[in-house]
This record gives sequence, structure tokens and C-alpha cells, in this order.
Amino acid sequence: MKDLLGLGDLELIELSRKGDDQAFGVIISRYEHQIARTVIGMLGDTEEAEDVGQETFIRFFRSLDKFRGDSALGTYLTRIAINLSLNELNKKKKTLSLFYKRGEDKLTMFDVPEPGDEFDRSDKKEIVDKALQQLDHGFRSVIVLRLLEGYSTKDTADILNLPLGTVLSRLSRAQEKLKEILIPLMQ
Amino acid sequence: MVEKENYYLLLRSFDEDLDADNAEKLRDALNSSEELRAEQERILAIRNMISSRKVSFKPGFRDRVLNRISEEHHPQFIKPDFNQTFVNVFKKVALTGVAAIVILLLSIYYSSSRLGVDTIVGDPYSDESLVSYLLYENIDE
Repeated sequence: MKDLLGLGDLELIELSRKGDDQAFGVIISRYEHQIARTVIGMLGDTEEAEDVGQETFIRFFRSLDKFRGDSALGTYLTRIAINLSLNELNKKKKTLSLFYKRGEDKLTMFDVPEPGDEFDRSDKKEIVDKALQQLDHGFRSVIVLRLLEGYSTKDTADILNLPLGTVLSRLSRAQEKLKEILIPLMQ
Repeated sequence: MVEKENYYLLLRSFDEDLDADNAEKLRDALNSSEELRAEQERILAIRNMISSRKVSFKPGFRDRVLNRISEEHHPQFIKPDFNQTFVNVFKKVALTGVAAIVILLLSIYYSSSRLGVDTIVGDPYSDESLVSYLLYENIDE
């Protein structure tokens, strides 16, 4: 195990392909925090986030043979994680739309919390978490990749398969929304 | 009041390289507007607040993933899914039922040399039925 820790991603992948579970375990340990930032940023600290996190690595395991190393492993896994998170959010949205009247759910998207409500009791992590959850999925994904993961705007565009201009405009608008939500709570 | 154009330049400046003209414009605006500088600090504070957020899965995440992978590779260790078991059992029962019906129809066909409603459900006016009918009618009286 100790020897495995010193190996590079491609070597670990090669060993995993040959059936070395410990090598795959090292890959999980190496990237679980990165994937946690992505899926918890997208879905909140929930059971779904854990499931999507697990599913990310399982999907990667199933497609080990397809990984050619064109992009860094972290980016490859992040792409899987963000797509699974967006699928999960869409599923949730469809379920919610069965219970809410048309348009009603949109009201909560950018609902700015009043100072004095439960936000006051939350710590910083929870405040940021709740603020992120109030962003529309498209805005949330660019914020998660750019600010939480620290990807460049170009990499963010590549991962989300969006034009760079769209990512830049979403970042500007998302920042504005986050400012609306967070500034009253920071004062 | 912060000028809208300068404000959007400020927002863009965090994520993209502004061209020389816009960069100079923003620099001048920041030098002359205290409000815009305050806005810059607020946005920076928010970005720092988000990027410094520490999150992780519950302890044992790696083992949970490896267990799921191992279950996929060794399906005999997977607990049977009730719905799937029910569907499988139902299929077997249904197939056996269909086979029994086919055998029954074939045997009727071979014994009576024809296959009609009467031969399958029985002739309501056969002698036996008639005798029973008459007998019961007598008892009622």
C-alpha cells in the first residue's frame, strides 16, 4: 500500500485495470475530497451527494479501459461528478414540479433570506452551502468549478461543454446573486 | 452610486483578462470611486468565503465505494432484491401455467378430435347434467 501511494495516476489506473483493488483505493483517497467539493457544492451536504460521489468512482471504474489520459484524472472525475449532479438536480426538479404549481418553484431560486431567520444561527459553511443551493443549476455549476475547485474559466467551459462567453457571463451573474444573498448575512 | 459599466468591468476582472482599454478604465474608476473599491472588497470576501469552504464525505468513503465495486464483481454476495425475485418467480409460474394450458388443450383435442368451446368448458346439455338437473328439481319439490 505504501508503495502504491508514490505511484502516478496512470500507473494506478494500469494496476486497477489488472484487478488491483488497492490501487483503485489509492485513486479514491487521492480524489475523494475534490469530488466531495463538487458534489456537495452542487447538491448540498446530503445523502444524494454521498451517492453521487460513490457513483462517480464506480462509473470511472467501469470505464477504466476507456480512459486514455487525454485530460487529467481529476478533471475527468470532476466531469463525471458534475454531470451526475446535474442529472440528480434535474430529477429532483421534475419530482418537485409534480407537487408545486408551475413557476412556484422558481420563486425559491433567488429568494434572499431575511436577516434574523435561521441563517443567523448557521455557521459560515452552512451559510455558503445554503447560498449555493439558492443559485440556479447553471450558475451553481460554474461557481462550484471556478471558485470551489479553482479551475480556470477555460477548463470550466470545457468540463461543462459550454462556450467560454457563457461561462464568463454566468460567473458575473452568479457573483451578483451570491452578493445579494450573502452580504446581508455577513454584516 | 457605482456606475453600471464600471461595476460589470469589476465583476469581469475577477475571471478574465480585460483588454488594455478596459483594464485602464477600471483602474481609473477604482482610483476615483471609494464605493467601487468597497464593492471590490465585498466581492473578494465572498469569493474567499466560497473558495475556503472545507467539505468532505463521511469517514470510510473509500471503503464504501470499494464494497460496492466488489459487490458488482461478486454478485453472489449481493442480497436478493425482492422485486426482482418476485418478477423472476412470477415468470416461472406463468410459463408453467401456459405449458399446462397447452397440454390440457392438446389432450382435449386428441380425446374428442376437435377443439371448441363445448369440448373445453363441457356440454351443458350432456346426459349427466340433465340427470342432475332433474334430480335436484325433484328434491326441491
